[in-house]
Amino acid sequence: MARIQLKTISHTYHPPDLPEEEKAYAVSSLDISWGDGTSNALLGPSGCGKTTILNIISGLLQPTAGQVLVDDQDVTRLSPRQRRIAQVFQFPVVYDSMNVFDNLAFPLRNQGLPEQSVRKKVQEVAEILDLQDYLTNPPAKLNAAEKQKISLGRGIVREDTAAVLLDEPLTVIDPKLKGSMRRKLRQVQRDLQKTMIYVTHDQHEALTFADDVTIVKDGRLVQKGSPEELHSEPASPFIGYFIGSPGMNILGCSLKGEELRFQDFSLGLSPEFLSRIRGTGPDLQLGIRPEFIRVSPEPGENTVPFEVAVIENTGAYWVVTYVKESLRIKARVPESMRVQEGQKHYLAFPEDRVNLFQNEQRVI
Amino acid sequence: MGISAHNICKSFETLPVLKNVSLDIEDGAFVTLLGATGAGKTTLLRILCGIERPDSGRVLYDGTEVTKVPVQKRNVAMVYQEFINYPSMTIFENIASPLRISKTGYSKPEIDRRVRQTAEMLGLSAILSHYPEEVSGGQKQRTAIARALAKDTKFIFLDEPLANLDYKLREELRGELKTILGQKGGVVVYATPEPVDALSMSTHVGYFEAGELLQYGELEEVYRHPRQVEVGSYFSYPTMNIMEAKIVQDQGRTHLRVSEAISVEVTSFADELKEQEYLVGVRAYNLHTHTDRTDMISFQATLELSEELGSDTELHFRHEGMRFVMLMQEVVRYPPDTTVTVYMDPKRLFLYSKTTRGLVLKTFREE
Amino acid sequence: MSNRAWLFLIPALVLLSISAFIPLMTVINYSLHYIFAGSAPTYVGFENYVEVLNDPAFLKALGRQMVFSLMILVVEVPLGIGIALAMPRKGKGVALTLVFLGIPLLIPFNVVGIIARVFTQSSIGVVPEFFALFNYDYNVSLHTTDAILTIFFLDVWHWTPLVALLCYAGLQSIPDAFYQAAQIDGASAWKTFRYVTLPKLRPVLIIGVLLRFMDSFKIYAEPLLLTGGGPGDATTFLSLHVARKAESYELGYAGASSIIYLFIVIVFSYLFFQLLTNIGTGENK
Repeated sequence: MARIQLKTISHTYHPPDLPEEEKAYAVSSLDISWGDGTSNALLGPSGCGKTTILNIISGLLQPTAGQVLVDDQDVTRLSPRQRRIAQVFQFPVVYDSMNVFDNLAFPLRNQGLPEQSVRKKVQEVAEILDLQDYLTNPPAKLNAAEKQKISLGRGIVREDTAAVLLDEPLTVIDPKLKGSMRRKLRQVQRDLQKTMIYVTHDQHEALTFADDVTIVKDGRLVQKGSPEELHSEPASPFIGYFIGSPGMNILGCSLKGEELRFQDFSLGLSPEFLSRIRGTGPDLQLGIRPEFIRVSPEPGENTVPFEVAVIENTGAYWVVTYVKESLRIKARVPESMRVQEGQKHYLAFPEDRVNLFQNEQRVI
Repeated sequence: MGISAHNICKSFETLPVLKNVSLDIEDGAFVTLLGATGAGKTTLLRILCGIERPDSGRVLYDGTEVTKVPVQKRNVAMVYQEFINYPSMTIFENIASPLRISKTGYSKPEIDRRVRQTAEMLGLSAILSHYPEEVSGGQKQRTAIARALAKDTKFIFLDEPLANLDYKLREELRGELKTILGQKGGVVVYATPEPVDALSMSTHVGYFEAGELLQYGELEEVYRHPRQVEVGSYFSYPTMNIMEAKIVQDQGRTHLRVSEAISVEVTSFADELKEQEYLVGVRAYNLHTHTDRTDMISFQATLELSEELGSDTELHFRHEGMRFVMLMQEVVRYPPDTTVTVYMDPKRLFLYSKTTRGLVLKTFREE
Repeated sequence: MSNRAWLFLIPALVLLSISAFIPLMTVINYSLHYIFAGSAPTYVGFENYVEVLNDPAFLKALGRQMVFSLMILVVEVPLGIGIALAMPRKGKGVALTLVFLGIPLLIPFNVVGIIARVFTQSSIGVVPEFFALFNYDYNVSLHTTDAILTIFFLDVWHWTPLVALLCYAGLQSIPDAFYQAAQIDGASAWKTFRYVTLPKLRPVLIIGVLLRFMDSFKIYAEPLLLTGGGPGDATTFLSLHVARKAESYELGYAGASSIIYLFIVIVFSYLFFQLLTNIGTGENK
């Protein structure tokens, strides 16, 4: 296994003879490094450039500019086979004309390994992936989850595989099997300590699989960090909103004296808080996660009245959309609290849970 | 009034997919048909809207039998999992299409007004002059939903409309659909395998398993009183932990014993418990790692995995050979193999018969 | 199927029964009688069948036919796959190649036969002229190999495009991911073809092989127009042999041989179908 690095990678699908100003870049000046043996995720909304990055890493696409390094060796011009990077695709890719054993053995036999070692290696991998009982079956009769395991198996069966890329591997898997498959993938990564990069738009899958999550938007890296960091210290309002369910509430406000002024209410700030944001300009955005808003039917100190507009049940709690003039705020309300549309609730924003952003950048 | 289905049976080849399903949907209901792939929910949806015909049984719209009326003559709207739009028409024309072919004969200004109003509601106003292939997946599906809404129909059917959308878009659209479809009146029938869809949007839920409608009723009723162990365990997010328990008598007190540590006193409902063995269910969010309460059942468990889900954490742990899942409403990462003390709320348990798998009682009463 | 759908099928069923069912019944009826010219038929049971199966002329025609059809399959199918693989996947070339390949398919059998006849005439044709350059005396009405190879070449030219087009459509439907995976797995070009392309082409290949087998087994117009089945009986294939008998009013013999002919086509088509459906599905390992 190995360390994978992207160095100032840019890519455009436009022809090179087009004037520079007319080219649209799918990804631009990306610098990312993934450590040896780590579990990583590449997370972003549809069309953010995830697939382009993936193809650049695997070697199916040559970047317009920049380098791909595997263990500090420049592999930018090497073919996928030479890079030794395996890939699990969105839809299961299995060789229909071979049984499960031969599928798993295929990459080894291509390397010309002696049949005895092939047998041993395949048995090992089959055990890790719980495929021992299917080895002689044709893959056509297995379900999508098992087929995906075969795809993964072909990647990890080779000792010299530098990294495994997983491209939305749970897309076609039944919702009921998704959870166990998700955990299986994670466990395999932990046990084998192989470098894996999981590409997805689904925060659940990214955050549960990876220790290190890279978020990409419009072809640019916006934040890289652990799930905890992304949750508590989002680098921008976009990440605050994108991570967490529901996403962070973002409210435009301005700092006036010792208060944060919103459209038609203001919040008093403590001296400690004020000292932490000294020096920032007046125009700010306040970010608060729905689970950190304190909701009460009674007014209290530094609370703001809002009206209940929409109530969504999630079982464990309610997600309530509150309105005040044109402001909309979502809050998680405990399941034990009775909520009705049109009710007036008093919302408090605890200072230690508040994020402030300026010009799309996190202040605190 | 509304939609009624009586004794619907349907087989594909020799495989029965619906076994004698009956339900009554009232006007104004937002019904979710919930179940795993192949449970029969989509087939029922297609029978209710008229794309499929049942082998036997009847479908009634507002009391009038429509079983044999082809779908073109029923005046219904349908939204599919795939984003189905007319590729050669603009978003505006797509939304207007059902109005243009409607027998009501809408005037030009009337069509214009309706399209713009619906587009406004679904946030499509800015892209009305675009073609479907120029817009995002979320916008394509919104267009398909707008087309269904613009059509002057009482009955809207949706077949997993959010399945092909990004996670975040799905989350946003759930809230919007609840509001938009809720205002519409009439009947909304929505098939999905996701319990969260059912919980967040619908007024009524029907749970399907192996072609049978195991339970149908108001959302709260089905969620709070899942009649079968299957319903409870599917209709919970992330899941319901199911434990095997035995009745134990001890000094005049009756206990339900799962393990040495997990034992619930059930003396007050002892007369309702006639069997020796039961299944005890507890939802993942009714397990805790800390508590202020003194009446909680506590037991030691070994943590196997903690999964961060954005704003929550799922803990997977093991206690005496049993596996448990806990949902914590915070983001924490526990190292694996740590021993944790788990608290279980004894007032949040479901007792199911081990033989019939039916709900015997709940240890909690509605407060 | 709903009742209305059956209603729409009625015209087709009526036509089919007139064009296929009734003649078939007539042929079966003939095959069980001794009929010659206008004389009254006498019921003879399976005598005609015994006669056909013991007739060296029939057996020779059958053998000739089998060899010919097998040659057609062995050459046209791999050649068709090869052409399909070589065709451009996108761009302007696609339309051009499709039209080019489509042209032979648009020409009717008898026209092909007549063209061939004109081209191969010893006095006026270009083909003998061409071979004369190499001092080879090409003559379809004298040399057996010339006649057989000419018909064979005609068929390959006429029908390989069909196999190629089928395969081309099949190739277009194979997702790129499969090739990418094979590349990543380190598969050679041959292995990629063997384990990705070929298995994914199986459904269209089944159709292609069946069509080419059945069609080539019925070859009639080309040998008839080129040499009338000669020289001698060198290109008298099965259909030609049967037709000759019918033309000479041996209706009982012709009927019985037709039925045997039909039976052979069905049996072989079924065998090919089974073989191709099951081969290499990973099932037998």
